[in-house]
Amino acid sequence: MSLLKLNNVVYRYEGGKKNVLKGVNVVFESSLIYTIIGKSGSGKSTLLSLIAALDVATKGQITYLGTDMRELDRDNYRARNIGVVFQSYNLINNYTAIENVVLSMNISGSDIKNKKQYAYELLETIGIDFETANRKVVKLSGGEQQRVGIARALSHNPDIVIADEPTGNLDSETEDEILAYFDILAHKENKCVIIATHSDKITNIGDKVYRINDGRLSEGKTKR
Amino acid sequence: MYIFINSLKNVIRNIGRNILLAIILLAVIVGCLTALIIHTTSKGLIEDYMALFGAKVYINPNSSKVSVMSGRQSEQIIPLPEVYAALADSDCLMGADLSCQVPSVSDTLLGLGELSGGTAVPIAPNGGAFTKFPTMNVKGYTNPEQLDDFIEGYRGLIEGRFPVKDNECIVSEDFKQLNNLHLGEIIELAQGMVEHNPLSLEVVGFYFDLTQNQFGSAVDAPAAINVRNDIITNYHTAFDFAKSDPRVDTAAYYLKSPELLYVFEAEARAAGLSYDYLVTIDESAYLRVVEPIKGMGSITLTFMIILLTLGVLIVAILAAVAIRERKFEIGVVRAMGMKKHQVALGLVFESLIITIICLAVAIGIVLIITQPISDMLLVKQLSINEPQDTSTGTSMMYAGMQTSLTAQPPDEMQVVINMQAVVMISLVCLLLVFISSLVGIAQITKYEPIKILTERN
Repeated sequence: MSLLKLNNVVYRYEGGKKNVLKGVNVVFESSLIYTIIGKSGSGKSTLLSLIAALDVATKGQITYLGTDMRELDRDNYRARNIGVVFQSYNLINNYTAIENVVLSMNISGSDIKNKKQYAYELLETIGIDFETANRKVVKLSGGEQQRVGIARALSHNPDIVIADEPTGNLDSETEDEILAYFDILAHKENKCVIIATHSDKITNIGDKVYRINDGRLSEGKTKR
Repeated sequence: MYIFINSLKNVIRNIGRNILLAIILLAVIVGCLTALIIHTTSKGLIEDYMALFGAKVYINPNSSKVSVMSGRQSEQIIPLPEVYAALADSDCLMGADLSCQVPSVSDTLLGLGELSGGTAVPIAPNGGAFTKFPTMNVKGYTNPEQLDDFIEGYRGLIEGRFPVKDNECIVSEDFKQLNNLHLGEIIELAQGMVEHNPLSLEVVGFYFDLTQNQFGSAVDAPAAINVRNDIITNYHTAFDFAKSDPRVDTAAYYLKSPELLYVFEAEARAAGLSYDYLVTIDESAYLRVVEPIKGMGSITLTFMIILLTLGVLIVAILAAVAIRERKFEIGVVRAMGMKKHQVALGLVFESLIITIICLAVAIGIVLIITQPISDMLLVKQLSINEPQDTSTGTSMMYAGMQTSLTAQPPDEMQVVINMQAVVMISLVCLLLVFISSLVGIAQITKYEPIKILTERN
């Protein structure tokens, strides 16, 4: 099922002279893992920020379920339809792990009654125990923080999960565990998972691999 | 709801930063509330004073013209009764107290002191027919109940009621016993100097009388001057009774506000009051009482304005610093989809919670410190405003002339948290909340989440 469609998307930073993205065309569907690879500064993070509605394309069209992103309430879209996992976690440091997750659920307007219980269960699923869940995130390890970031991204049950270098700061063992979880998300929970990475390991789990080079996106190998 | 709960938790999460903000807010609120309470209390005292004393009008002879006046007939010296009557109806007044006294005689009633003093001798006024010497006094008052003697307890009603309608009167218990009077009895009187001017009065009350006569305390003073022989009625009855020789004995006018003095004077002149008379309020008494309190009010108001200005500036700076430190947090919640107005609402709630806590603590502190501060300020103001010379000179008791007030400045001011202070401090708190929130909101609207996160990363 086609969730997200980018049609000839161009992006230039405010005041910039050069286009960072130069006419990107791509379609993202549910139940697949997409990996986007490219060198630093090639436009991977910019592409993800456009998909996450954190920024607006200079030209072209991005549609979610057929609706132009410009016509969508971008705050609502971020709160309900998409979950973002950042390389540097971007958790609120003076909140506990559980508070970070519950806040995301509250913002999304989730109708789950016992949000705290749901958040505990979610954290437990991705390897965060009760004690760790009640610690401030600033006191957690990188791997634990990234798990909390993933739990937060999934807390409101979004259609699309995007991850920008999700394992960039993690050890190999933790990286494997997180990738395994992404695999479950896409193939068992039917999410559309889009990952920007340098990592070959991540590239290998992608159902579809795209390479971005000098602002242009081209399709690489396809698993399926 | 979650925004409020989150704000509540944020107040605790950012306790270090918030304590600093709370200290500043507490200082501002305590200062402002103390100043407001003292200011509003002093303002209330001044208003009370104005209502009681400050607006009392004096119609006194102009001393520079006294020598000229003394050469005239008494009718020219003393303002005509019509002038008093006209002034009593002025719109500038909140009230007027007029009195009129008519020396009287009766064929059926005896006056105390009449038998022992032997004063009931015939006299020949203006060489005309002989009439009886007065043995009692009909005294008419605008408000008999408000007479000083009744208020101060030297006289008090023991039976019946005060005169309400025309031709009603009350008499002393001694007078009642002497003449064996009963409630509802009609007494017949005539003017001492005029044979044919009868007056019928219904006795509606009796009062005890502890006042002293003009020449001593003896109850059996000569009848004409024996206060136990007073027959108290209303002003109109006495004034009509005295038709052939109408005279206003005392007249006190109470302006609605001292500012109306000039309007009132213009009315008095238009009614025929000569320029030989000055229309004044007792400014010296007014200043003596009001100035120290007014001084306190001014000091506290100035203090509050300075404190509030500084407070607002500091709160604005602290809010700006705080929001910069929380920029990342705001970027994260915005990236999670929280709308700008929700973020702003959260900031408002946080400011509100801190301010309410500070206000509660401030009220406790203010309850303890305000009275001592007020006392200290009052002592200082009293010493600054100590009168140089309070002598009032010679008093000439013309009809309508009042002696200088004996009102003294208060030696203490009981401060209380009044509604006006509560409303004002609430507004001050709202202003502080508004300023601190506004600074934050102005900052967060400038940033897009992606920029905040990119900068951080």
